[in-house]
This record gives sequence, structure tokens and C-alpha cells, in this order.
Amino acid sequence: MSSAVERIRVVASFAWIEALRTRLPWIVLAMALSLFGAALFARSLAITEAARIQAGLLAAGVRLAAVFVVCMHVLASMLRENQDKVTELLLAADITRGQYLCGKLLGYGAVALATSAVLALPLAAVAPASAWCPWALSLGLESLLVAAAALFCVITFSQLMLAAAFVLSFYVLSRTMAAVVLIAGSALLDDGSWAHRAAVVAVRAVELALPDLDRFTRTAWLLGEGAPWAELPGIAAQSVVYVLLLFSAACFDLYRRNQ
Amino acid sequence: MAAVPAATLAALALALALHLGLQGHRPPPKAQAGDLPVPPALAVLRVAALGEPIGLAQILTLWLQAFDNQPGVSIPFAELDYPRVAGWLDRILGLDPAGQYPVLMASHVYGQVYGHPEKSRFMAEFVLEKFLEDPGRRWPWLAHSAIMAKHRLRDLPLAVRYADALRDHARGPGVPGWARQMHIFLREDLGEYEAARVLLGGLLASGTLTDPSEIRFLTERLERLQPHRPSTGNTP
Repeated sequence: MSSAVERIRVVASFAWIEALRTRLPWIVLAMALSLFGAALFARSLAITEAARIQAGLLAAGVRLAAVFVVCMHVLASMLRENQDKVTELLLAADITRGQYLCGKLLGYGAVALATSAVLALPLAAVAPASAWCPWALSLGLESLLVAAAALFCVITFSQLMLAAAFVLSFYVLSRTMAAVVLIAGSALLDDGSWAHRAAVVAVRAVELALPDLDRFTRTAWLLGEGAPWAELPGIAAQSVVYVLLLFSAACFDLYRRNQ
Repeated sequence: MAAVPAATLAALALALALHLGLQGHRPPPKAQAGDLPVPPALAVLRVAALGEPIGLAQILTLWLQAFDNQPGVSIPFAELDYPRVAGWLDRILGLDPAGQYPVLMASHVYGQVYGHPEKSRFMAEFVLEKFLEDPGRRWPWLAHSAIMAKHRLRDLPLAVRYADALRDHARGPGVPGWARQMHIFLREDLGEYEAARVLLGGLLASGTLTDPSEIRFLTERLERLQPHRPSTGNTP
């Protein structure tokens, strides 16, 4: 048991060290400063509610940036390792595929949490701590979920474009699903035809398969609305369950392909 | 650097110079008042927001505002399709109901167009419509519309109508007394002295006023109305 934990720890530390050596911290820091500058510029354009505009735009930008950085880093790292045959070398050693993936997930998860923490820092200057803390935690959980999705996609597709397109589509669909469901179920669109009913059923089925990212990391929390701390346990539970689901699916695919 | 052929360097420099030359001669982008598109449905915007309705609302607000940033403010306003402007403001409020920026734009920016009273009235009606959806937060803009109706449009009955809406709907600790009492003074200006006396007397007798200075001011105002004396014109 302790040797399995040690193997997982080693793989996770490799993932963390690689993130440091590929200058990811500098890239993330530069993005954080750029987003803060852009939000400051938008604030200067506003004739009222300037602080609100700054916080809202900065929050939206940080959220998208965190997801993009984490997704591309995980995909690029795994594909580079695969192309350099490092994956084969590791799996030839005394480590199971499950331990390997668990170590990767833990390492990339740590990178995702650190990335979201750095990107969320500028918001601490424009939002109260009572709102910023749950928002940053939620962003960390969202980034962790995206890291797990990227890990699953790169194991399944083994191609950058395909994996990136799938992860980003998964993310966009998860965030907009609430609005899509409302549109699909609108009485104005219901013409009573079987095609409409089938479409509604399909949309509901897709909704069931996706995490409810619409509830994550809401900008409204930073603007004094909602009850972020009350929603955080539900968000954390959903993150844990869906990360477990994605990890299990990645393990299944890795074992199935006998890579 | 030494390994790069001279031809490659020359081609790079030439291409860069050509690009900068073309960009330098390109006319600067300018927002045309006539280019304001029809706003899409709110549901479409919610999907396009990718889970960030507030962020999209703020971007749309700044984008809509860009149509006004031209020399000679009144000219672009007069060219704007006001129903479309109101449509965009309505969508923005739908995405971010807590934001007050669109209602401020309606009352203080688009409602202030000179020489087009019909546009000012249109925006004032829009402000009234939005005030009724959230009176606790949007009362300042309707109060401004009431003042604008009195002093710029010179339409006292319209101002009284807006003031009556403030009286009936604007409640809560954040709403000042002068906003809720505006209808009394506007009626006095309208010559409805008896109605103003009754309303003022009723307000003082209701016991809802607690500020001694406010009670003293309104009592003096009531005394001036009985019998009627010429107004000093100090209506807000």
C-alpha cells in the first residue's frame, strides 16, 4: 500500500515539476496582470458602477483563462509525454495504469488549483474577502474538473485538436446547459410534434450527463448577490463525484487500450 | 542571427513594412448610429453568455455606450433608433437585473437628447416601465425623469404621473422623503392647491415621518398652502 502511495506521489510530483519547468507560473502571472489591466481599462470607460464593471469583467475573464490554461497544459503535457515514449517507459516500470493515472490526476489537480489561485488574486483587490474566498474555491474546483476532463480526453483521443475541441465543447455546453434547457422547454417552441418532444428528451439526457457548471463560480457572488458559502458544499460534492467519474472513465479507456 | 540568410531578413522586413503601411492607411473604425442592430432574444443572449450573464451585460453596456462617443453628442442620439436602444437596454437588464447602468443611461443619457422631445418621452416611459419592475433600486432614475418632464419637457401632468408612481411604489429605507413627497409639490405647481393641501396634511397626520427637520419643513409648507400663497418655486 505504502509503495503504491509512493508511486502515485512520484508521478504527481513529476507533473508538478513539469509545470514549473515549462514556465507555466510566469504565463499565468502574465495573464492575471493582463486581465487586471483590461478590467481597469473597462472601468475607465464606465460612467457609473465602475467598480462593478471592473469586478464583473475581471471575473468572467479569469474564469475563462483558468479553464483554458489548465486544459491546454494537461493536453500538451500528456501528449508530449506520449510522443517522447515516457508514458510507455513509466508503464513498463512497476506501476499500474490506475496508479499512473491517479498520480497524473493529483499532479494536474495541484497545478489547476495553483493556477486558479494565482489568476483569482487580482479579484481580491476589487471584491470583499467574504465573497472572493468562496468564488476562488469554486474556481479551483471548476479547474480541477476541467483537468480531469482533459486527462480523460487525451487518453481517449490522443490528438491535441480533437481532445481540445472535446474538452472545450464539454465545458461550454456544461455552462450553457441551463439556458438551453429553458429554451428547449419553452411553451413558445412547443408545436406538439414528435420531433420537438424528442429534442426535449435529448436535451434533458445531455443535461443529466454533464456537470452543472452554471452553478459554479458565479460573478454575482462577487457583486454581493446570492449565498456562495451555502452553495459551496453542493459544488464540492458535484466536483468530487464528476472527477471520480472522469477518472474511472480514463482508467477504463487506458486499461482497454492496453497502452 | 548569423545563420539567417539575408534574403529571409529582407523579405521579413519588406513584409512588415508593407503591413504597417497598409494598416496606417486604413480608416479608423467609427461607430455609426445607424448600424445599431436589432437586439436578439434574451434567451439567445443567455446561451451566448456561456454562463457569464453579468459579464456579457457589462460588455454590451460598454459596446452600446460606444455609439455615443463621437463629437457632437446630440447628433448621434437623434440618429439612433430609440426602440432598438430600449431593446438593448432591456436585454442588458434581463442579463443583469441588479445593475443600474442601463436605467441611468436611459434617464441621464438617451433621455437628454435636445430638440427631440418625443425621444425624451420615449426613454422616460422606458424608465417608468423598468422602475415598476424594481422600484426599490430604480427610484432615482424615475425621480430624474419626473424632474426632466417638468423642467425640460414642460409637461407637469407627466411629471405628476411619475411622481405618483414614486409615491405608490418606491418604498424601503433607502428611498428619501423628498422622492416620495415630490407629487405634492408638483401638484402645487400644477395649481392643484387643494389636492396638495390634502396630501400634505395626510402625510403629516399619518405618523410615517420621523425626521423633525422634515416634519418642520412640511408643516411650514402646509401653512403656506392655507390659504393659498404664491409658490416660492422650490419644488425639487
